[in-house]
Amino acid sequence: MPVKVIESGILTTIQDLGRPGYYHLGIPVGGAMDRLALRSANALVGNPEDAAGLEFAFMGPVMEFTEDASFAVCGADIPAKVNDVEQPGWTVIDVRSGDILSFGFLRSRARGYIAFSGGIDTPQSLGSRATYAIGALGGYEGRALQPNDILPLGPEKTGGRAGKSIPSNLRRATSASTKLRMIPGLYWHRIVKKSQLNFFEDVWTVANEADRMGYRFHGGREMKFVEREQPFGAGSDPSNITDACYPYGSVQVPSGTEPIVLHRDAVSGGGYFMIGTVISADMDLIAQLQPHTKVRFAEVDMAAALNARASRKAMLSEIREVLK
Amino acid sequence: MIERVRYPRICPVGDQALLVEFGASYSRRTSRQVLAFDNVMNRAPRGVCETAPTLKSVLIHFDPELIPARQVENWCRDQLAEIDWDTKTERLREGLRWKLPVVYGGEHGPDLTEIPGLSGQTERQFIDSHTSLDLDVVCLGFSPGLAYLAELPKIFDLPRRQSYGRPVPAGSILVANRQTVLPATPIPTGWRRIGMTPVPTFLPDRKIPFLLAPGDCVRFYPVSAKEAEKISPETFWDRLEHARSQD
Repeated sequence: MPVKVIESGILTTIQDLGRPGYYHLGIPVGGAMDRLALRSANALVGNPEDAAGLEFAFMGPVMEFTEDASFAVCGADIPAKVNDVEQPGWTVIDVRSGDILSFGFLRSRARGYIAFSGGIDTPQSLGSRATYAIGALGGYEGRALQPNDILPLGPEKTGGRAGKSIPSNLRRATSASTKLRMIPGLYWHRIVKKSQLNFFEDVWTVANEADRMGYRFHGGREMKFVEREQPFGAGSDPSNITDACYPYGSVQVPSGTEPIVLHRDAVSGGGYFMIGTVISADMDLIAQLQPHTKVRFAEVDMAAALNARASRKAMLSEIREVLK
Repeated sequence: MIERVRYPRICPVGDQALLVEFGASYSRRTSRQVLAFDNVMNRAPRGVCETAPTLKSVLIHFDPELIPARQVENWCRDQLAEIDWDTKTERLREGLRWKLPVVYGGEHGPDLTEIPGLSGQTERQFIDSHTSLDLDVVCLGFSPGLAYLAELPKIFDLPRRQSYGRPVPAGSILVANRQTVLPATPIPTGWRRIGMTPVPTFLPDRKIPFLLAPGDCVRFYPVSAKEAEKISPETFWDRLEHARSQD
């Protein structure tokens, strides 16, 4: 029983790569919002990349190790400390029983991922350990961590990895010029041409409503709708549709004002129209945007999306190669 | 400019999904086509990971490393062209027929008192119509196991509230836009809460965790809060497991 929670940090949850296959029952895929960061942390400590670790937002937890272990922190730039001594990020750190892990202040980005050697070994729910708090599924009793929770770790497979590190060029990060690439589609035809152009021209600011369900943006021009007959079962606002599924990454715009990019714990469907889908390669980046960050959306096609996917995959292969 | 869209249509959804949409809105015919197409998707080529039927469309998830989007799209297009969907829907598997008890009004359905003002019906008339219909379970979604039930007559064309209130409990009977939904977990909602069923529709530890499935049929019947306490959910869940074991 090697890790005890002393302070929980903010929205610290157990996450792995999620539970695909239950979407038709209304259960989103869930799992780490920044998948590359969780994969990197797991690869560092020698875990399978889909092992369960911790995700936290803005403020890290304080934890006590009750057995020897090793860990790595990836994602947000936030200094991890062992017994108050600062440790490098994206690097394997060995700890002894009794050591205390804590965090300093967030320097940039938004979400940190902690992988422990052996991985967190809580029971699986529908094939995954990912916490889906809304459905009280998985994780630690289906909820975010609280003080005094004790996290079991799986048997450690490898050791002697202390000091292994991911070089800075392989730490994917957001920057001032971050653009979120989107393939228009779905109900794109519901807004007029001018609004379509405005959407990509305008600068959008991340709102405070930025969590595992979705990221809301404001600051762009309001959209104008193409006239229609109200479909059966749809609400009366022009942004309402007859309830449909909300795919991961899709961009809905309630009332045509503030776009919301649906993230890993988004409800699986509902009655707002969507104008397109952020490409899969950029979903990790969204997880690292802080509220008040300014971004733009960029229109891309399928070929560009697949290229982005391929380069993300190549980056992952390089990480694996470095850590061999 | 008036919106013009031809159905069925196939539209891309990012780089790992496609949507096949059979109409702009729900109709029984559209919904049956959706379920029939979802069945056909069981034969889809390797790389198609998961499908999810909704009121009017089927979402198809695929792995672009295993199958190009174009190939999934072409496969769907071929199916759409080759199959007579109305004949196909006649062969859909018969779902289960459920009679579910509901406590209407009071603390179980606090919005029932708004009904006369919104629909021009008395509460009694409204409950009578709500319990006189066989409703199709059209799909599950929004939240885990929430069942969409259709179709209700025009008096149920109630507007949703513009903002969400406090979450409603699992088992709430909600109405709006000529539909009823039955959430299986607590959810925030803008729909009107008119009652509550004492039968849980989601038991995560069961082999089949959701009581209702698309293609099933539900008829509600009114019970008092006292009667509701005596109802044993087990009989419903045993029936489900028995029926599925016959499949």
